[in-house]
Amino acid sequence: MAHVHFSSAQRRLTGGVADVKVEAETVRELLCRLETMFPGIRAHLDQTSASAVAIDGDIIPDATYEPVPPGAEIHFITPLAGG
Amino acid sequence: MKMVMTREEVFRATGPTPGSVIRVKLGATNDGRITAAEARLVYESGAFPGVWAMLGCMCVVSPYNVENFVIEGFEVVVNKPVNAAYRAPSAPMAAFATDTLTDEIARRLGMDPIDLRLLNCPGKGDVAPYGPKWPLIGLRDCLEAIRDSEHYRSEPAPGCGRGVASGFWFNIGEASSATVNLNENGTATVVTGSPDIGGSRASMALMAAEELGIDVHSIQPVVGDTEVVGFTDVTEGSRATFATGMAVVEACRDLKVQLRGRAARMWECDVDDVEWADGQATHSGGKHEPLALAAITAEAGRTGGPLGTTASLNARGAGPAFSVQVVDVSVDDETGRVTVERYTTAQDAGTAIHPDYVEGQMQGGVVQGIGWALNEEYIHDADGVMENPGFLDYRIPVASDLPMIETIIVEVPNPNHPYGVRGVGEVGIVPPLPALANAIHDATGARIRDLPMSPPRVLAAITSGNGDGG
Repeated sequence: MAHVHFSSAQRRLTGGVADVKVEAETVRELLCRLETMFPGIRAHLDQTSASAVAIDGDIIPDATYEPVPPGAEIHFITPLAGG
Repeated sequence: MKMVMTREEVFRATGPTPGSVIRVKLGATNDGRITAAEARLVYESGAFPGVWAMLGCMCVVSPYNVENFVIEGFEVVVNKPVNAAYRAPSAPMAAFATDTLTDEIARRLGMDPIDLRLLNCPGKGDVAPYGPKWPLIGLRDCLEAIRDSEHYRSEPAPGCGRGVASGFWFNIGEASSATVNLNENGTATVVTGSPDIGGSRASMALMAAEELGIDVHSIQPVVGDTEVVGFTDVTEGSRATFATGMAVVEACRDLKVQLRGRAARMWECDVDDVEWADGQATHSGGKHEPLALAAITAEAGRTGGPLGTTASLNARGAGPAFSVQVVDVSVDDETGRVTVERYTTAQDAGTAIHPDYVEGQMQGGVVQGIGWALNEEYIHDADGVMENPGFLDYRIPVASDLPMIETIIVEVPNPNHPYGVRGVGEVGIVPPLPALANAIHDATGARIRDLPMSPPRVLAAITSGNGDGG
């Protein structure tokens, strides 16, 4: 089970829930499960600036097809830019 | 197609870093432990919003373990030219707010500013303010390196003030490709798509030499474009040596498999009986004399054709970067001019593949930060038109303005890179803004909260006598 953490802004879409444990093998599957739990959250995570995914601290842009290891810590954060 | 812009066009059209207004409030116990933070970061975005405020929010208290915090970010759309990513975008101004405040806390408590930072220093497993847990990081090592440096252990020259500051930047991975071809004479050509803006080509050659076990002078590193090498993201995020280097290493490891196969053909043995070490193939049974790489490439035409390969990857596991810096300044109390008398920077490079170029990046970041702190400023009129689009009116530091920037390379290898690379290009620009503000305060008693700390602003702060000029 992946452990998904929500930022304070994202908690507006989870009814205040700060974290959940979800069974998923990929980020895409994870997003589907989250959408079932919190309707509307997938569009927020896909379309806002919070569209990169940190899997066990490794920040991955375009993570849709990334595998989610068992027990992974997941955060949805802004994609990084560099200068 | 090649497009050439005039200097004025570059100033007007390519975008500066965002302007910002940042307020930070910190709570600390009497023993110096920071317990709470409140930050409000407002960034200009030009005509279109971007990611600047969010990046600032993610950096603003990152060098500190703070259990309780509220961080808000705002992007303000303004009638000014677009903003652009500029060396650790959004982080320096956030650090300017936080690290001048921690300096005030240390002064208020009578603590050494390094000790205060060590007391609040995060490490592996602590939760970063932006969510995930920190991996292995080198902030504590950088703090200790500055604390133990000859610079910090010596007193500032009479009349000088001293400032310390720390800074954080993420570093990123992204997509990279590398093509490595072995030539008949045993030399190698390494083609990558990362423009070399800080010495990365030499690092590519060094990593290829280490992998293949041949002399680095036998390797020709070339920067190609998308017509000759696979897609590679731009050189940003301190990623070239980290990510493109990872592709070079992967390509070389594939080549070593090929080389073992060619040696097996020459020896007419099973490839599993061939090992590769120190630039040569050896037979595990000892039946054959070792074959150097050049001996194998010389026969390549008869053993299967030219030897070459390409690796393309999304580099994962970029290592967070930290820098800690100390600066001594003197301030002319008649003109407000600040002179940087001595500067030392410590930075966690992971592993410094080419130490001279790593030092160059560290020094470059510091100098750019000094320019930002003391002089550089886009001046706009009431209609948002830039009034100083040239280097006569936009002052950057030149060599005669600066002492030698002393460097301490800290190496806490990134476990996610085959050679431990973190990337060194950006974080060096983060601490100079607060470090110089803290040094000016130490020298004059004036706490300046606006940038740049140019002579008129410093003079006004000194003469106002309230210690809070700007």
